[in-house]
Amino acid sequence: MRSIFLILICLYASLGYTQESKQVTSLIEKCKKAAQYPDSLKYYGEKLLEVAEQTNSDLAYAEGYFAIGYGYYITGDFPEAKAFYRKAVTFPIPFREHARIKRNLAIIHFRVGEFEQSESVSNELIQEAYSLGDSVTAHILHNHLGIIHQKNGRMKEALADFTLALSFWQRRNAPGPSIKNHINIGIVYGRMELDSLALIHFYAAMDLSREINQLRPQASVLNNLSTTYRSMGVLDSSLACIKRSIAICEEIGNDELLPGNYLNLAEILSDYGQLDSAIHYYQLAIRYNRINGDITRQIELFRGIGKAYYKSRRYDLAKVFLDSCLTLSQENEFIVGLENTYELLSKTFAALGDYQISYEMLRYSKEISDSTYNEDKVLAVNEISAKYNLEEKESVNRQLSSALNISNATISQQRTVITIVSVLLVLVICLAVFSVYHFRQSRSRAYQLEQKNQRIETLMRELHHRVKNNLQVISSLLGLQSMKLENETAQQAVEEGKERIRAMSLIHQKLYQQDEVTSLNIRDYVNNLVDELAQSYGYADKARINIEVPSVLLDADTTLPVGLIINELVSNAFKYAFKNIEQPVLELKLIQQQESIMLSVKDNGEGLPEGFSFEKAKSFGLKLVHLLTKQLNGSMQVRNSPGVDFQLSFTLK
Amino acid sequence: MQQIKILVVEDEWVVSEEIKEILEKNNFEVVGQAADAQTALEIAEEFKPDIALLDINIKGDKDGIELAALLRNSCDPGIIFLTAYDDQKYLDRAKSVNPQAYIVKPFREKNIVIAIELAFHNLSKNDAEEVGEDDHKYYVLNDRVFIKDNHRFFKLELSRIKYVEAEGSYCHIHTDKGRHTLAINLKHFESKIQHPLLVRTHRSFLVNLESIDALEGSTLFIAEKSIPVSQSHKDDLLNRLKLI
Repeated sequence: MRSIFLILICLYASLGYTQESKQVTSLIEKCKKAAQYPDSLKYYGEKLLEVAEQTNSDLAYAEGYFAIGYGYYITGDFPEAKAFYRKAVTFPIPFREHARIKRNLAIIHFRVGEFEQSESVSNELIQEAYSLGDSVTAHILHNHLGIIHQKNGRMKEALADFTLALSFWQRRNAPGPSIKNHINIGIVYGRMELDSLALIHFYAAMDLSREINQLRPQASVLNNLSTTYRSMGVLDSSLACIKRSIAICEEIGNDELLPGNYLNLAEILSDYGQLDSAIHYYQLAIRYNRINGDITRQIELFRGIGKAYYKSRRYDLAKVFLDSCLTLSQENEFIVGLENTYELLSKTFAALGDYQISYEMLRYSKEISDSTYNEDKVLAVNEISAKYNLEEKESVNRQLSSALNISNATISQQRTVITIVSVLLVLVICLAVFSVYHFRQSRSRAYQLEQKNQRIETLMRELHHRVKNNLQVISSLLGLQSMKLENETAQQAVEEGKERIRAMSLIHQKLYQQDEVTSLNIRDYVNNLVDELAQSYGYADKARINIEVPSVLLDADTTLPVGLIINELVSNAFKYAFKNIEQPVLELKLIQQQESIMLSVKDNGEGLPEGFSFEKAKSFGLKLVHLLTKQLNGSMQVRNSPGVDFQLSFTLK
Repeated sequence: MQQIKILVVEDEWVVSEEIKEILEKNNFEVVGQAADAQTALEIAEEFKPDIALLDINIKGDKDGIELAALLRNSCDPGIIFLTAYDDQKYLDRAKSVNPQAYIVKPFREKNIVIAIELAFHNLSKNDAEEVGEDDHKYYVLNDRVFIKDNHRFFKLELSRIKYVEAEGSYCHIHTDKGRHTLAINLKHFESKIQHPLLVRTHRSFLVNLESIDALEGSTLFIAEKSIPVSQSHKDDLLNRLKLI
């Protein structure tokens, strides 16, 4: 009577539990549906947090904080969003969810200009993803890392990350991400002034987007094509591309690409000398950009409009925008284009007659740019320093009022300056030549390495495939021979041999289906293996099979004996344990604690006969289990509980 | 009833042989074994197999997927791929020829039989439909019926039927090769097949127009057998006879 009461309580509790978890799932579903609506997101997020407090569910906490954060993200309140994401990532939840939240955290760091944090979060997540065999997540993040490198001016690293991601998505036949990576690689080549390479990648992206009939990527490609043509001096094509891109954005109502498009259009118009129109589009771009708060673009926009004002001789306005541009760059430690800002400021101050500040600005500019140094700029330094010296000279003049002395002094001073500048110029040119040479070398080395890696990967795949094919031949040899056998026991023995070959073959299949070629996810493998065995013995629908195996990468050398042991124990259960059992249950658990692994295979069958000894067992299957346990340097415990419970423990080497 | 004809294309002869033995053990007829596309096409041309079991990685300049595309244009058998390749790239390419089933190596005897039944199922889904319970199933195509009877498979070409006679929930099918009984009633059978030559002449009879030897009043003769023609079906029958 008491036990019935207890069971009822348990039932009630488990009913309550499933209801709560249902509540959590349904709230998460609602959040997903509300992804566009910040208020609903925050509302459902709060609800999730309430449920989380009642049930102490990590998933509910994480998803709750994330939903609220995402709500803030949509409305552009990035700091608030960041704070919530930071809370969300602390909870131990399944990797897929964890990865999604962490990726968003990396993105938000990036959006507010915290590149270093964004990079470290991404790197952390990549490590986690690789260790769990989730190469999709890892390669999404390689793309993100590439963008960070690029924004920080580390073109070589950016190229490496993008190329890695591109080859992965191409292998997967995923046009969407492939397009993005082509575009990103094109942008990097553009930054490196390798315009023809940039064009190749942009047109590849264009072809892919046309193939899948998507307008948004086309707009993005056109935007980039426009930039490249502009840097090549082909202004007509540049203008045509950007106009088409803007038309597409307006057609599909995409506000996200518009600021970038307007920026490019303004720059082209500025090149054409149509300064008023250029300024108009800069202003439009600034207005649109406020909405999605992209700081790096804000910097570019301020510099652009400053330049346009400078060109149209409205120096005061130019100074205001260039100053804001400089402040933003410094606050966010953003160095790309900084030398241009200084240069423009220098020119503006020169035009306003403030030569001392102008000279200082030009010096900063020179300090920053080293590889792109050129003669024009040296001449400009020369000219301005001459003016600066002239000013100084005049003040000296007033103090000493001795024409002859001063002119001599000035001449010798000017000579010194010219000598110093010339020596500097030669040094800088040498340095530039050296760094270009070094860069080319390392780029080709990186390329060769990438090629080599791909070749090795292909060969490994081919190898696994051949092994699998050979295993099929062995299996067929056994099969043909068994058809000629008349003795049923002998036939069964051969069939068991074939099953063992299948268990081994499955390892090679898993190894070449994934990117990692030397180790495999034990969870996938065990699930697959037990599934096949259950089907083969006709228990797929009849037995309840509980598999609790974590997603852990094991190397192939360990997986092989583990796989064969599981094959024997599970086959044994299906063959002998369930003969008179109405509701067969098979439980398979694998627990990893640091280096030690515990595997348990348990059934609810009739149990082992009295006086059974594992070491002295006569059946070939159990002897095999004994041998393989030895191979793993492990130990095996067997008990009746009341069905058989095998427990294997071993330590990873 | 006829056996189902199968073509096996596999360049490992040991594997090919095992497949052949498995198929023959399960009452299928293996019309040929080939290790390359050219030989496979020649066999297909001559024997018109119902099913082709194709390894993807075969000898010669064409692989199994290209061969499948060529077979589709010749005798159009059901295609089953048999392969150790199961990565996405190959699956995507294989999908382009709409195979009826896949078998992944190393296979079990069971996998092969299940794949063939799956192929019948997928074939009949395109044209007509399948009928019946687990142990008695009919996969009806335009001109053929694949019959599963107690784990054995047979084929019935509709044009070979002379006439069908109903008996309760069974029907006896008379062909040039003899009589077969199916566990399905005539009305149901008639509703599933749509063959221009098979015409209902009576509540209990379905007749192949081309087999009719003579027609006298309300009786028609096929060889020695006299078959009644009911009033309600007579006009239709005469009209159809005029057409051929």
